[in-house]
Amino acid sequence: MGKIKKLFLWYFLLNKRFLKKVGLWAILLIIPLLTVALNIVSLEDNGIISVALAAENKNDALVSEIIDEIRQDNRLMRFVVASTPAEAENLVKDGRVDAAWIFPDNLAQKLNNFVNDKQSVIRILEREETVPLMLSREKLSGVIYKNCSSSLYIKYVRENALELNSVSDERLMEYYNDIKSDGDLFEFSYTNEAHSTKDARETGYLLTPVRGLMAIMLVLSGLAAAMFYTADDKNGTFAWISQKAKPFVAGAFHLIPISITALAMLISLYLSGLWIGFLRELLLAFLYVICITVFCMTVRLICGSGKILGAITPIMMLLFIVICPVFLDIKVLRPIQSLFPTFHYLSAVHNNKFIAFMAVYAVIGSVVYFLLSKILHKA
Amino acid sequence: MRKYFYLQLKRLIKILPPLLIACLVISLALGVFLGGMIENDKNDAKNQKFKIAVVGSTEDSYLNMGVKALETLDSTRFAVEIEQTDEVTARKNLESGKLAAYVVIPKGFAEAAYRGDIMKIKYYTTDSAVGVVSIFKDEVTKTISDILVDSQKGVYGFGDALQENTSISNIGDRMTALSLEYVSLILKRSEIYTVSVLGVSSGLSTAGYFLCGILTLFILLLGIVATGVFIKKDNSLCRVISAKGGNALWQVASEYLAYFLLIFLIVSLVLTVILGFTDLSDVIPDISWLVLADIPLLLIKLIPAVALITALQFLLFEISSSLVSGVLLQFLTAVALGYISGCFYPIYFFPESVQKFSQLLPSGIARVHISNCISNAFDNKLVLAGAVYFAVIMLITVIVRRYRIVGKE
Repeated sequence: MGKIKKLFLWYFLLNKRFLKKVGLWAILLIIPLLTVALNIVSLEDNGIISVALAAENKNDALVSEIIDEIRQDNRLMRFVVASTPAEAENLVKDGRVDAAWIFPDNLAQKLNNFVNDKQSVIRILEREETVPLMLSREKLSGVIYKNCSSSLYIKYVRENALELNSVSDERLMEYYNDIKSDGDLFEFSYTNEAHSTKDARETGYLLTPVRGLMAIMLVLSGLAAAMFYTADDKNGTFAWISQKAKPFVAGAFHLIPISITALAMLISLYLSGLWIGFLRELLLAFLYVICITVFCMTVRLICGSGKILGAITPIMMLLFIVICPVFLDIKVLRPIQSLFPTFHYLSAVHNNKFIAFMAVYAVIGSVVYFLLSKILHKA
Repeated sequence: MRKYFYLQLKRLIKILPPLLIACLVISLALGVFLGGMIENDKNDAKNQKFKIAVVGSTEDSYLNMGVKALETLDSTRFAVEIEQTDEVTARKNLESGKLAAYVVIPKGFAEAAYRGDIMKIKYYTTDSAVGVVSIFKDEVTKTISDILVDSQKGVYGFGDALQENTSISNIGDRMTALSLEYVSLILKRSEIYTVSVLGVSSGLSTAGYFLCGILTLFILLLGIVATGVFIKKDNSLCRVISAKGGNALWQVASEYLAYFLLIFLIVSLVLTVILGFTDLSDVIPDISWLVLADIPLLLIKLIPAVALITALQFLLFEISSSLVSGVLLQFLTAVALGYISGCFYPIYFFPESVQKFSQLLPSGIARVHISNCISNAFDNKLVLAGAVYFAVIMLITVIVRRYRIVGKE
């Protein structure tokens, strides 16, 4: 009982000590601020690409209908309606939009003609051909296809089903429209099928790096703890602790600010809508905290001095941002990604295999740390 | 005060080797990042960004034909590569990052489709939706769903019309003939539009934009490497120099000038190597006009951007009291400003309000100025705004230094 009391006392005193550090508060405040800011920003009108829509004849009913449909439900593309095709072209030339989609006069007739002779109907102007723009044209295809589909149906019936000559076009369209579908053809899933992808589909792209950035803040808090520990060790704060107990004291010293930051991260994940369930988040955070603690303690041992640690900390953070899938997933870096605990954490969100990898990482990391501390102590 | 300035330079020259090593590492890391961003955007057939595996009952000849048609004829073949494989291999490749996704076509899909019963196709993905292209999967799959549903309406509507109005026995064959027409229409859907690429006459290409964003981020991160030199743990030295006649303004000016020269030297070295001795004009067409002789003038034009960012970094040195807090502050400020100013994501990804806010930040002004220098579109008003910003930041720095000199410990 006495030992447990002592443990809690140490935890309380170290907490008090760390909460006096401005640096730690900076990290703790940034995490929720970043999340709230991005949440607010993602609610506004934004888009990975912007497209100007223009009609040669603004009174064409089908064109207006298509433009309205295109502008609905857009998470990735921002649409701007230009008053004339010339204005749309200027917007592209000036770089204010990425592309312009220009709809001709008498669109309905031209779509009918397309079914017969495959003559192009819509003009698209772009500054440069990129993959997002190529994929965005699928949205246009999808909206236009509906009209082409019904035109093809009527044309085919009239040319190839003379038995249906007595049936009017209106009646034929009733047969067409009576066919009901039961929604999307595709059902999305993660490799862990127990997780729903619904939230992922509704999460704006601006929020996609948030979990990664917060995970990196945890690494930063661990490296900051390592710097504080090094300074305190140099000042003789731990001189009275036996060599056998030192690794555990060092572990506790690192664990505390990391776990405080992890708590801030969990709260922010909950507020941001990226939350995937209490038990899973807790398990991932627990394992990640252990992995980061072991990682930072090992880095501290290798660096030796506070100056070197201070110098490499920002470089290390940059490497984490580049190598781990925070903003980009650079697949060619896969072989070295497994050295970074953040990679395993981000991969484990919907893949149970990486939860096991994190546990293995923690064990191997601890063994490496203990061996290294023995070798360096002897040296 | 000239002596004090030379002293600062000497201090920096002493630590130049480790500084250069740190800069090299930062440059390499950002170079990899830039390469990754540009690769993501490339659109030629050799660089399909979206690999999807098809798993399932492809013993049906129509399904096989459909997959082959998607692989060879469909317009999405320039962005999507489709391969057929088994589920175990597909899952393994998805987890290792070789695939963006895989779809599982359920058993009996083709037969059910002939009966008008469209079974669901499961689309497996990962959570690493960090690439722009993988985010588009929702748009693309929704379009595929809509197209197939509309085609289904035509084929089965035709079947119903024949059923109710005729007594022919080969309705199935007639429906199959119409479905082949629909397949042809689907595969030729991209012919409904013509695409004209106007070229990047004003502004930057996407790759050029990324180059300027990463360069801005590079300068922002350089503040970290000199933190150990400029952080003042106590104010005694400042007070001694003030007592000898070097007031706050002179102290700040001497130290800042030394710092600015250091950063400018590093930026010049890196840019000279990248722009002068490598040929990236295929990948970044915006720099195709640059030859080695143009680089000195370009570097001179970049001075306002470097000065503005270094002034901000110097202010952060001034308000930090320990190495740890100094490093953290520099890093967090660099990353936060870099993000909001469009160094990680293009600024046009963000809403208008954020774009406008970014233009008010020193990093946003610096990025735009660097973009103007690269695209040969110098904006005097922007330089003036940057100069005003610079003056305000330096004034605040001097005030903070004055407080350190005369204030209580």
